[in-house]
Amino acid sequence: MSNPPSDAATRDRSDDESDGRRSIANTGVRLVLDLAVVTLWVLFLALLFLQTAWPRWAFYAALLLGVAAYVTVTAPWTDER
Amino acid sequence: MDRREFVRTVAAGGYAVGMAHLLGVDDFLAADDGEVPIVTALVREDPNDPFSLEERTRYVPAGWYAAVEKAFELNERLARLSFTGYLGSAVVPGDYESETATVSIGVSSEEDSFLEIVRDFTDGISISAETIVEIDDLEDGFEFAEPRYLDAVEDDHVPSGVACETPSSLATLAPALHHPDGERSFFATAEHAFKDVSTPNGEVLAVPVSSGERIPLGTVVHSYPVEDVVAVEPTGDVSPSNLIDVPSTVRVRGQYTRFGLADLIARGEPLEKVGALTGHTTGRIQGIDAVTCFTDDFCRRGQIRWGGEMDLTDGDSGSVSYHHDPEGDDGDVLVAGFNNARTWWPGQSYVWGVSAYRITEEHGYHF
Repeated sequence: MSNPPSDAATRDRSDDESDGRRSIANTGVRLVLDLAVVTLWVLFLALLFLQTAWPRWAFYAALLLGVAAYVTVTAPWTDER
Repeated sequence: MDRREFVRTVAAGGYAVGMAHLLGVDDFLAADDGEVPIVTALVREDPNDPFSLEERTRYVPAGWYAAVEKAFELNERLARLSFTGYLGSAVVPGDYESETATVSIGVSSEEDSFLEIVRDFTDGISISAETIVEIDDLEDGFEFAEPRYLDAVEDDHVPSGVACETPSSLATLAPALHHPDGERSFFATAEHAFKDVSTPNGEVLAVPVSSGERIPLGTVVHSYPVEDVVAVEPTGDVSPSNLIDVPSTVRVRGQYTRFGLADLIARGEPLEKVGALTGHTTGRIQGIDAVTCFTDDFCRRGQIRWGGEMDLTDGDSGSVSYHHDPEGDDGDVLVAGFNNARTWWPGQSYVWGVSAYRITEEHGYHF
């Protein structure tokens, strides 16, 4: 970098701050989205199992597999680095 | 899976399990075998005393009970959530062997992509494949143009199922409604039959007789726009009656509870009604404990959906749906609810109106 050391230090710090803010904002959005999706998933499964009389273990298996699949699929989308 | 994903999976999974627990899914997933008693109806012990009500019970499979109970609860939650585009929902209990229940959700098709997701989710649980209209028999001899007028008053009682007149329109007279406070009895009909007035209270309800006379019944003392019902206090010489004027007169002996209606669906039993214009019709129940937000700017709860849209026309509002009382005398029936509106959009076909149990819960009246 050609900038004088003091300038570089200043700019680095402000970049860190905005990165930090963006990361917090991203985490917040992701959390809200996660909760919404998982809530819908639980509701959907509950309604589905209500009308099918499938066993209890299948409910929890589907519940957790669904969540794991959701996280696996969406993980690359939020990786910005 | 890296550490972050792992943490996220565990957090979301924990939340999911907690949420499932909160919804109480174990109530129906782990329901016991065996049978539980449900109250199916409130019935008069003495057919002539409307205040001698007693509960009628029936034993049903515990798994079925748990599924239906949970469906009522989820339906209630959906109604309270009332997300954008929500038009209504209804509970459709399965038969006793299946031990299941369906919540059918109506979502507006004009909403954005988020609702597409909800629609995709709810696609699998709608009853579209089963919503085939079943009209068993429209009785001969009725004409749409000619309302069923009362022939004559007998014993100072006016039977229901005949045309009644408000200052602005024609509707169907319902069987007598009774209120335990002061043991009073009222005439009843649909609230929306009183048009162009801010409140129907004080308005006069009358019954036209086929000879051309017009018998005043009384004045409206209580009106319930959400339930779409008015209670009319008798002021004339005639009293409300629990008879319904069908070709062979039937007598109202009581009313079904919410689980009583669920039991009728589980057993595939139909409902009947007598309207002033379409006469006597029979049809299958399509959903109970329904929420409808199609009309007005509020939602109506505790509705019944049954029959098909040809079962009701203007002037039939205020009629009641009923089913014969299996343990009563011949000609005894139990009321399910009022009929006040019907579908007008393609894809679905039913009549709806407030259930009798809902009016009892909200305002204390019973049939």
